[in-house]
Amino acid sequence: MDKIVEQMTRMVAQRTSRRGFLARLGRLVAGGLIIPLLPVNRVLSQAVAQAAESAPGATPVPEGLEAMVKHGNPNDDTACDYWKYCAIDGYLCSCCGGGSHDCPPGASPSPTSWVGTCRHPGDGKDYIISYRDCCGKTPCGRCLCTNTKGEMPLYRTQLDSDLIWCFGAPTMVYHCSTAEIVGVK
Amino acid sequence: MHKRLAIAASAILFLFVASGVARAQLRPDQMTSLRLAAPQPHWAYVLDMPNAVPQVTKIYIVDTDRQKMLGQLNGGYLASFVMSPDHREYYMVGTFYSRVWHGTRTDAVEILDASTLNFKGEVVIPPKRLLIVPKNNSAGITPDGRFMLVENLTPATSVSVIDLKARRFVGEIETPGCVQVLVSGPRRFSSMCADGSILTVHLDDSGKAKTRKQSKPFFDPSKDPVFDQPVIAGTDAYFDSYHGMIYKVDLSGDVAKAEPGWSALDDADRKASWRPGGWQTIAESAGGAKIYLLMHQGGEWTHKQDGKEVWVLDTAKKTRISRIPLKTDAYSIRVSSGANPILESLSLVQSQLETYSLPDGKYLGVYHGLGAPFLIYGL
Repeated sequence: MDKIVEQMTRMVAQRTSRRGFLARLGRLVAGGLIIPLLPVNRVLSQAVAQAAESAPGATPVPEGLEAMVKHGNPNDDTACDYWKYCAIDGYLCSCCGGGSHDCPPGASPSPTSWVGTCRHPGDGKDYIISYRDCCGKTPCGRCLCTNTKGEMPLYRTQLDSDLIWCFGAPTMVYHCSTAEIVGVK
Repeated sequence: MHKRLAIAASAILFLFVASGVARAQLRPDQMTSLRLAAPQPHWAYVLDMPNAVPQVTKIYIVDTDRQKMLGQLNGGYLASFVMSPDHREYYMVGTFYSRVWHGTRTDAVEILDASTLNFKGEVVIPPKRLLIVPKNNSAGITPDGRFMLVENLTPATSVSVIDLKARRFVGEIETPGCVQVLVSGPRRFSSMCADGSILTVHLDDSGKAKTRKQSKPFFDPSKDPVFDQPVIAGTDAYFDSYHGMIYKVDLSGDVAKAEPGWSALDDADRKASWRPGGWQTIAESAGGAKIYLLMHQGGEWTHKQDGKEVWVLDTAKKTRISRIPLKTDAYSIRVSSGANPILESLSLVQSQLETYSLPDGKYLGVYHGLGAPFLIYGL
């Protein structure tokens, strides 16, 4: 777990200006509360334990979008049930000219993200997934998925999927969502 | 000659008759902009976040008694809606990029007249407001109408304070590890913190932080998190949790005080997997004497599933009073204020608003075509 946190910290550090990152970190720590930044290991173990008991609930999809949502195939990265998407919330970049961990042309990967844990159907291992938004264009509008496994309210910021996770990207305009493997839990 | 006279006479007669007919026709329309009467408790303010282009947020104002659309307000990207306590002004707190999808970011509190719905002015605020699928309590107003409070998340958290009387940004209050603005007094707001505690901030008359005190945690977020959109009745906030626990938190003091939680479910309910879920999942009436929960049957992590029923709970006796089955599954609910409250339920999937009488839960009607409606506001 420590390794993963270290890896994630390195990733973020590499992708953001160090001064900006330190400033943000400093502000989070300022009140003696570092919880929003490092709830990952504690909360995730809970989340996985609870999520393992039952399937994630179906959440509503606005009218007209239902037909574009595919379910049922854990190996199809344009389906909501693709294994890495167990907690994805948004339009799949895979349906928008990008991939499961690539932005469509002209959209920028956000250096910040929220995180979840998904079990790979093949090797049975639990992987830590970084849900990184692609930013800089209006919402793609295709393949909306609202999976909520392990998703927490806003006060657990790192585990909230309703936020526009474009912090550090050129604009906060949300385009689509990706799922990037960070490591094995 | 006679023929000519006859033709002329016929022409005159025709003109006379024609003009007579013209006189009997509809008058030309006089085009104008209508105005709204004073807002009423049964007016629902429905927030539509257009999914494809959330750069413009809409508020539809619907008179639920007459099933009539009264008008629309516009705001910026993922805007929050706030109403002045005297109901004379509306505010849309929004974000704008100079080229819509790129360019320079500006955040502003836009001020709209409640009668004409015209834009009256704005206060530009630091471009760091929380950008999220719209939620309650991301912006709030003090009960005296003086200060507007806007949640910032960069992801460091703070609150922007706007003096609405002076129409200017006053400053920022740091709220590390805590989010949202639960306004409970003229110079007081509270925020929800990551460890399950509440931070209470008292302001002075210039809008600066005077005191800032954090309560003890009143729930364990890693075991059973409370939803982040509590309902506020006066100085009390009512929270519902993923597993159906209810917590009443008194926000009136220097430090928030929580009463012990109690479950909205009995053993049979738990066995049948009932739990709260949706977006705006809790409502109140009679100053918090009754609370209303949007309920569905589902397993773990179904906290955003549409609700099939609304459960009415007595907060003094900590018991359920009734269950109201909904005609259409709902994502958000609200109970209107005033002497004759009604239940309003919103379906995101069906893009519609339904109303039910209280306390009997009788279905009253539906209003269709509300875009992607997430939230209901009201007086």
